[in-house]
Amino acid sequence: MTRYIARRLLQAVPLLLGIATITFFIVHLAPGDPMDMYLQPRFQGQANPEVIELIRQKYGLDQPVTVQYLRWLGNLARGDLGESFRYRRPVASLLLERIPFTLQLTVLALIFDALVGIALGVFSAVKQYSLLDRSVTLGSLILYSVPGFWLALMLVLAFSVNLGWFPTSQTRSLDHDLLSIWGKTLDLAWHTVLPVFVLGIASAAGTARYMRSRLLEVLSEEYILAARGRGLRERTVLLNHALRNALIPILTLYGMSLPFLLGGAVLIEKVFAWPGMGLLAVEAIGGRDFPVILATTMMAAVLVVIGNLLADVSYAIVDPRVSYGGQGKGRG
Amino acid sequence: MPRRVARRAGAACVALALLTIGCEGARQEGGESSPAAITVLDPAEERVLGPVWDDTPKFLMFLPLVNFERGSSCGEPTPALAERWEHSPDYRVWTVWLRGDVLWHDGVPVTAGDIKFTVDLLKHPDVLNYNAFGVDSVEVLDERTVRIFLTEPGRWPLEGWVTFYPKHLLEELDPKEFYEWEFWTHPVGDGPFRYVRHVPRTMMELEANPEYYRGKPRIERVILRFVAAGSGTGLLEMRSGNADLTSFLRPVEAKQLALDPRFRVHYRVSTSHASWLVYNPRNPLFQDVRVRRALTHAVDRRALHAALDLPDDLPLTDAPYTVCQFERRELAEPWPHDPVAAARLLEAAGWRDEDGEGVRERNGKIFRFMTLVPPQEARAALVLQAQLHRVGVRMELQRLDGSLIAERIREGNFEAVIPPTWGIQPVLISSPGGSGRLNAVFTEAYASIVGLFDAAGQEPDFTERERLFRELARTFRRELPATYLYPRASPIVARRRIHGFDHDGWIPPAWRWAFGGLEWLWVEAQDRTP
Repeated sequence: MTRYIARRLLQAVPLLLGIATITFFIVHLAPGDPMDMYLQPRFQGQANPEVIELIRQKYGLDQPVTVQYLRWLGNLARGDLGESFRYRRPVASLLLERIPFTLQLTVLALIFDALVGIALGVFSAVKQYSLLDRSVTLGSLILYSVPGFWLALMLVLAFSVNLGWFPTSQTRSLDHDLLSIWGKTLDLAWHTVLPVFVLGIASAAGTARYMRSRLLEVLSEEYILAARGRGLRERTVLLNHALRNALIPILTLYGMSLPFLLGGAVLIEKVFAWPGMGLLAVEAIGGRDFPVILATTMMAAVLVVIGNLLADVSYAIVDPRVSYGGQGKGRG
Repeated sequence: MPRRVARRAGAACVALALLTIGCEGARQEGGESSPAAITVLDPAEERVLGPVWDDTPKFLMFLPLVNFERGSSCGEPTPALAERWEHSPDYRVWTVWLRGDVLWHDGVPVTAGDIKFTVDLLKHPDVLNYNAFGVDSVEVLDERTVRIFLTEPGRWPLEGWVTFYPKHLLEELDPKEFYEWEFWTHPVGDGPFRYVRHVPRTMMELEANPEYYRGKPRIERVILRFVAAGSGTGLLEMRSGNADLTSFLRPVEAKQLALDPRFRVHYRVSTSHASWLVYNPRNPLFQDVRVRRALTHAVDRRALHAALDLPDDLPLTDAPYTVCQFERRELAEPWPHDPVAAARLLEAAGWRDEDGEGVRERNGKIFRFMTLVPPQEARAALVLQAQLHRVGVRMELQRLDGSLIAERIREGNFEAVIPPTWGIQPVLISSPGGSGRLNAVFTEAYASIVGLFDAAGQEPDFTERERLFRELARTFRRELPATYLYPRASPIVARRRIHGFDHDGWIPPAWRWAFGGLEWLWVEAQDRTP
């Protein structure tokens, strides 16, 4: 397994290099001058070109694109992501500030997705064609179809503006720094409820549908009939035999959904003024902040690679028939 | 059975916990304002008062040499950190005398050394801050006097934008890390408010400075609450009562809040930023002044303002103006919206709709042109397109990013354009650094206008500058190289409990920074939330 992981990681290097190259050239060859965005609006179009040239030199923007590319690649290899034009700070420190916020959102949304989606899918499958099953089916379809940002705005209007139950935006209260540890934890949880719900509910709806069909499929397998025939309790049949097998493709689904959750977080972060990586990426694109655009794209690419790898590895862990080491019992 | 009971009890506990969290949160959030405290929404973060953002909130904490504010005479500066000033006849050397009663928030007096330190810092090769553009050097004459040498004749000391930093706290720090200094997240300034605390990415709390040289502001506490712009969140925060004041809502959002009796909407009208439809003089379509005037007559600017959710009493004109001219409403008379006159002028220029298809032609060519439109002007462009169509002119639209449009203007590669945020002036005038104009096309066609723009832009003398602008306005209105659309009017939405805005509608443009004006606001005792 270790060898497999190492091989996959090595294979990811040319892939990431390709993504880095394409992204770099798309960003740099797009028409427009980043200096137009660098300057505060009141100076735009009026600044002294000599000083502009000095700033250009400072960021290496006066060099040919290929030179800029090689320099950027060299810096990237050393872990130097450059300096943001907008924030005038190292991109790495900006990312380090923002990543925890995005992780908080996406990891909790994944957990929410798993708990709610799998549970609803199981209930739906076990009680097939019942009122519960039909309600879950209808609810899932609706939630899966509703745009996340719209749902977010509606929930904020209902639960924040009108009822005042949850905060309208942001990650913490204004007096967060004055609260006790317990108060801080509650405060963070309180701010997380709505964004996590919005981010997680659509994928939970998808998971529920997938889980239901997968479980129904497994429940009709012969080994389940055999288990029932052996007189095992229905709960044991369901949890120990059916669910475990039905979960295998779901794990793959989770691995793949990591980058999609990050994409979804962009909109949710915007609506809830959540200072994560998504918001940073959107601001960077709007402001032609090349170093930040490149860094966030690379982060997303790395997440896709890691997501895929995690999916494959977890597949092998859950399903003993699958082996990547060449010594397994099964088809790997 | 006991297991089922336990499950239900567990579910009830979770629900109760969520409810408790909700109530707890509501309690914290509900305590919106203690006496004379206001919460202001801002789209920045905890470095908002520093040079990275370099925006109006910095005036809460740091003083410029001069101010532009209520009571100032027609856009002329009033003393702030500077008590008085003098300039050499060629406006290259300025001597500035500082006030003696201004203290940094840690009690140390502000001196001439702080002015020199700041300028040298901003010019440092590792910093390269554009706020020091135009300053050659600063010489300290004594504790309270500096001499500022400019690279070209100008009014840098009187621009009122640059704020100054405490030498005694910063001189040991590495300029390489200037934009990262921790100082910017808990700064020590010399302005009307001083730093209390901040919650990263969430808020910054400031309190009134009792040592402020003009006396302690009546607003005792200001909370800057950081919320991203353009997401609709600002509107929701105002509606839910979590904020008292904001200046970054979109006009349509401000209009919605204007219907809510809790709020009052003021507009800050920019004198330097306006939207124009600029015609390329090299294009044969626009070489006839009758055509340019016809297009101006065809535009219904009141309808345009309504479509853009702008106030319906925005001043109209057809020439550039100064702050003073705007405040006194000494604006060039606008060409009226008159489709009949537009049609008459177009026909006189040979453009007729012979085939009755709704578009005018001349010598077999239809009257059609392409306008470059930045994203923020897309809506205005659609309204214009419809209005021009009514007089038989087909305006096609090409939506482009602002920096691309700037490039196309520089190259002269356009038929018509609505320039991005910076308006018409950079299209026509030389930059202060003598960089040459963005587009030589206009120099050829409108030499007198460009000459006057250049002269007025570089004229340091206030009276002479006003005279040049009056002359410019007359020539501009006659030649019409562009059609004026609307001035940039930014809504400032405030809860009614906040007093001190000049009057219900307009905020004079000279009082141009919402945050610099906070020291003039107050909350009546009966309006304070306990």
